[in-house]
Amino acid sequence: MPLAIALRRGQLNNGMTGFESSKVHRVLDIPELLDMILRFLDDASNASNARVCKQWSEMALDILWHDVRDLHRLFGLLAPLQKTSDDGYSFVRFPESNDWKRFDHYRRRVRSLSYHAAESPHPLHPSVFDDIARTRTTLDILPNMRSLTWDAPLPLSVMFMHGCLKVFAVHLPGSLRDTSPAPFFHDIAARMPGLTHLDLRLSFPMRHIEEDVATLVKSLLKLQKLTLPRHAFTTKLAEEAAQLAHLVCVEFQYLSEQGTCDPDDTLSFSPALEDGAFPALADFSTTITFSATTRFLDSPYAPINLTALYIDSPLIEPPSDVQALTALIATHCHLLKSLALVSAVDARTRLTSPPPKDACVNMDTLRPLFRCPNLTSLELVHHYPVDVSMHDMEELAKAWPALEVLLLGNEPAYIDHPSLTLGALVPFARWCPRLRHLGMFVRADGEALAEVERSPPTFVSLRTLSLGVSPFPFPPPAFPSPSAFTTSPSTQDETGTHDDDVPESASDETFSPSTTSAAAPALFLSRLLPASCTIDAGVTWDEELPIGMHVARAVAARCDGWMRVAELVPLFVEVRGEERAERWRGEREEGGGYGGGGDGDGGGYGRAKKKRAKRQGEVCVVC
Amino acid sequence: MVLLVTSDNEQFTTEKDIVERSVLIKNMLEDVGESDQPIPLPNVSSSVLKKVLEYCEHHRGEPLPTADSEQSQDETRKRTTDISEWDQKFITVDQEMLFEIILAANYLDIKSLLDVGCKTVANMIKGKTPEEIRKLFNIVNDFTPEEEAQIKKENEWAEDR
Repeated sequence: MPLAIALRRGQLNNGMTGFESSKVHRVLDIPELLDMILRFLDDASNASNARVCKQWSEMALDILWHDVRDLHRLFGLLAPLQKTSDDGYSFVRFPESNDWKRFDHYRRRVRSLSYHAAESPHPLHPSVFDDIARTRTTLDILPNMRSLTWDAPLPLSVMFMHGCLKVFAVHLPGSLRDTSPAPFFHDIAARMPGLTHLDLRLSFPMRHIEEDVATLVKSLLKLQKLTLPRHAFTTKLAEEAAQLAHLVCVEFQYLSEQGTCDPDDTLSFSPALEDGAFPALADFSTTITFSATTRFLDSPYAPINLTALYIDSPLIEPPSDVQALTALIATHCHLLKSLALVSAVDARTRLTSPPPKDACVNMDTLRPLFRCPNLTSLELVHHYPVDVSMHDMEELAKAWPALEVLLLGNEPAYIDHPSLTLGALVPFARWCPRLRHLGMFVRADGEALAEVERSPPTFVSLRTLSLGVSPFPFPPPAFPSPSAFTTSPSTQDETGTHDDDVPESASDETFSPSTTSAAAPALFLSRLLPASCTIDAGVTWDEELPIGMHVARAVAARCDGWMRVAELVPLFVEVRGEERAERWRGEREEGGGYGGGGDGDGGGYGRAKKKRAKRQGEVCVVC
Repeated sequence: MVLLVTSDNEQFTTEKDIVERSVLIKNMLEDVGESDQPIPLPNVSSSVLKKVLEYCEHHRGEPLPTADSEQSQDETRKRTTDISEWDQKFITVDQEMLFEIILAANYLDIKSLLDVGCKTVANMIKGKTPEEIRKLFNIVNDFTPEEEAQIKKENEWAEDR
């Protein structure tokens, strides 16, 4: 261990002088420990730390200048910059050789530079780049830079390129549709031949620059990773990328800054591969249909040695196509560890009738995957709820004892009628000791909870339970509601428990969750979950996906409900003694009624509404 | 059961799964295999080991950091000095003991305890002027006033962040 060696070195140094032998100095004189301490601090603190003494200064400046996101700040070290008439900053005087000498104190510290001209509070006038290029005393301005992210006029990035750069992310402007990017791509290939990661960000159809991108990709022989927007990895690009000896990862990103290309360009994805294609490819994510994926993986010389496969289909995939893909993966991809099958969702309208059986993914779809011996992570996203039984979950959990991540359709756009109850978590607690992240779409109403085991086993490694859009067991309305769907108040007064006949839409959209309705699921989960486990709910659908008002409201209300559960679970865990928790629940039910949900009239509704708006923004974040 | 012997020759008996939070001890146990041999810890005193074991006992059963999770945690851990309530109470000790715990956590290779210790020191530094920091840790200023002023000027951008 380097730290242990460092410790011994520190001790030797400290043995020599008197007061330095104190424990404080033994720690602060170990560079690794001082570095660790300073890394926990913000920039303002490290600006102070940089002035404490020379040893601290070196470390604090290394941290402060490691990632530069503001060129104005960097170039301002050379000579004063001033805002000039045409809304950009220029040098007040030319940088001199002495300025460059002082600049040496900083330039070697910069490992990554990211410049987004349009977002910069201090955009630089092109003359600044000319002045730098003209006055610099060495060719490489930032010799230790390994990563460059560029969102500004392309030619200005060329002066930063050098042979040691590993990562290059660049925003390609839409104007490239008309002018060829070839000269710029030649610069990339000639000046940064050691690139291991190329990240192209664009929002126009790939077909306009496909030939040039293919040529670029083919010439970057060290490339290990290629990142593109959705719908950009075309047949042509795949055929060229297939020849790269070190290419391990081809991926797309959902982030809006990545951009999006035209789905038409990848609809007919069917590269013709040659012997030895994709020799190193292990991690592949793309946005094609499941049937196209099946065809691709079944074609000669296909990269079947994948360890990670992530397919985001533009279709609501029929279960037959899902099953064809899982069956093929089971026979071909024996090394696969992580699989994500994301089918499109349509959340514009809320349908409350039971989903058509033949549209739902079921155990027949999933069962082939039991034959993948190394699979430890499975994520399934589908428009419809997964149609499985408690018995199926027992079978699945037993078949996959090594499972670490399982997200089993926990956020269908068809947000009603889960086929499972909270009790479906139990087999996974029993059979999957390594499970870290579990996501399911489950019911948790009184009837569902009546069936669950009284003393379930506790998950060993679970860190996150994602309940997605699982219905929250809202109490029936206790006061006249603005919603059209309400039962008469007298009914609820009598029963005092959740009435299954109340349309969920009514309770979902009308009430904020009370502590009481959260108590029963929280009590059950407190027995099942380890102390450090977090509960989340909500959706990770594409940010641009249109979400209907009824769906959004219901999802937001359910989120609120589950968040209440998430708050209660640690309290129950603390109480731990089951009887005490049981008693606590009893007291609340007798005394509190639906206080949380019915504590007001219009006011309560308004508050819930405000929360919803916020939630909607939150829950739509894509990871 | 595992037998640990401290620098001041005190013996501590503890459970294997508690003490395996220390990567050093875990590796030692793997090396010696099944054996009743005591494990010498010549760099840790009994008063510090007592604290360290208290920490390991409290966090017993929690997943140990793996190579994978460490990587992702690096991103999230960056620049947050939040410490959980229990850890906060645990680490409220005099300065001498705090730094002894850090040294022990480093030596024993207990990442989470090392983090708690370093975060606590970071919190002591937060918001202080360079002179206050020097005083706090008895550090000699080896900058000339001009050098210090230049660094201040060049890094002024960071001060209001």
